[in-house]
Amino acid sequence: MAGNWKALFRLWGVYARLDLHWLTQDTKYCVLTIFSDLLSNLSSVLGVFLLAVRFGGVGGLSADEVLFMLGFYNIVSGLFNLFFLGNNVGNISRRIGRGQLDHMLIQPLPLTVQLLSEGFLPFSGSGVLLGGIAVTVIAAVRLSLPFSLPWLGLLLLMAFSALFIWVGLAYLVSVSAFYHPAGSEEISSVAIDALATLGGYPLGGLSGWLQALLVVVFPAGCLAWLPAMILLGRSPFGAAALLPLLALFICGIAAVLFQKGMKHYGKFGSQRYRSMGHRS
Amino acid sequence: MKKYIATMRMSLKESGYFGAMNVVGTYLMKWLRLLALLMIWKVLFAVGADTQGMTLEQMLTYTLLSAALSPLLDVRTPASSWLHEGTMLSLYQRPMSVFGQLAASTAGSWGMHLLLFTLPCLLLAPLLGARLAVNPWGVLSLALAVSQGFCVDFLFAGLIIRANNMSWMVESLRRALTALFTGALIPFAVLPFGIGKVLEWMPLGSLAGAPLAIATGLSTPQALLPVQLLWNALLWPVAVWWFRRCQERMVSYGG
Repeated sequence: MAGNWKALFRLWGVYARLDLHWLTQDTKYCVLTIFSDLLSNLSSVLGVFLLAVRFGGVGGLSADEVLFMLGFYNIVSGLFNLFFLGNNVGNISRRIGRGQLDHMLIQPLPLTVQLLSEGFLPFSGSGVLLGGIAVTVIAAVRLSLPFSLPWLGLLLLMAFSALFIWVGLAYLVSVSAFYHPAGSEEISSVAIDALATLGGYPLGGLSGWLQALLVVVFPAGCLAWLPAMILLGRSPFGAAALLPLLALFICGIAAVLFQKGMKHYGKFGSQRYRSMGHRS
Repeated sequence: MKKYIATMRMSLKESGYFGAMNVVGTYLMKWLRLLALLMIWKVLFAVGADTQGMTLEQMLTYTLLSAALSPLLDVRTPASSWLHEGTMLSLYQRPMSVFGQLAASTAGSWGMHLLLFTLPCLLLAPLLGARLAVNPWGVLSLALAVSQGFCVDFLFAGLIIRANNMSWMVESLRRALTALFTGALIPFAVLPFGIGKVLEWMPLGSLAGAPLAIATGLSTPQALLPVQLLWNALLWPVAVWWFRRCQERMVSYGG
């Protein structure tokens, strides 16, 4: 167990170096990447925020509260980019569907360690996270939110719960790629995109059944809206426990089904595998 | 013409390559997103905020049309992915124009969306609170937007070539620009501080904003069609020149 942690930290170091080299290989790429990150940050926040300004708030949240929610959304989205964007680790159905899992299974490392390390992009993948932190701090100051340790701890808990709900769901749907490699190759990106599209909206004004649907069944509301409500002290009692529990539940189910899918993969392999590692 | 129709047919068949599960998942998500957006607009309008004269019915129609016509309002040829995968080079080995092949392939890929999403959207529009009326000016504006969309896509394809196939980065740049500046998600009419008035005149603003504003009666054809014509006339020569210049630097490898 301790050896795995050691390996994970060592690999994070290796991937960090690789990422830094990639980002600084050329001034043009570097500037374009930073500019692209800045623009992504701006565009993901600006649309809904401008609406909140025009309408004097959205879904029961004031303009500043909406800004806080959007900042939090970018933190979660940024954490996804930071840990799971590289090498299609978040879009795992692509690697399963293309038969590329074979490359991981022959490595002398547990699959979990590989999955937790291969997506790590601390330099090229941290732009959205940094932007999210900046927007969240600005909104929190404007709202006079307490920057106490327990509150910051709660913020971290909410952010990582939302992240693992997102990743867990992507892995859950990706299990189908073990059984239908071609048909499900892109299934994780469909789920990720759908969650991302709805995740940045305040759902406060929606009817109760739709809110429940978007929190429990298709948990787009767990990416930003519900955590923001909890952090703003606007959610019902006990909601703070819901998010980590939901994250555990989704990741647990995904892990069990993933193991089952791996057994199937072990028996049948992938007919789409090519020695060059690309899909057929 | 026959060869381009054959390309369209091939592209249509290819769009179902990932199988029924992918198709069902994709369109289910599109419906979920559309329904949630319609609900959000209803809630916003129920607050009774100043919407600069825009009615709820107009907003719902705008949102519905934006989703239903999304591939036409933000034209994406396969150029970006084909540059990355190396398929692009094979286009030069065929006795057809590269632009023509990309355009035919793109038009073919719209088939499934039009059948599985656009058609049901239009049929269910009255139930969703939208009101659709045949508007010839809106159709003309849509045609101009599609033409300009191809042009913008070729400009981005050139950028990908110049950036040595960093298609993911250019894609994220493009997504950020189109999310806000095309008017596909939020109508320019409800943006504060007069931002919408400025964006309406921008090249990206003519893509989704113009046809949707004309179709929903938010703006007049007299105001927007000349802008669309102008951008088409200005951007097409630039796109052709830029792509020709960039294609000499094209390098492709497997993705």
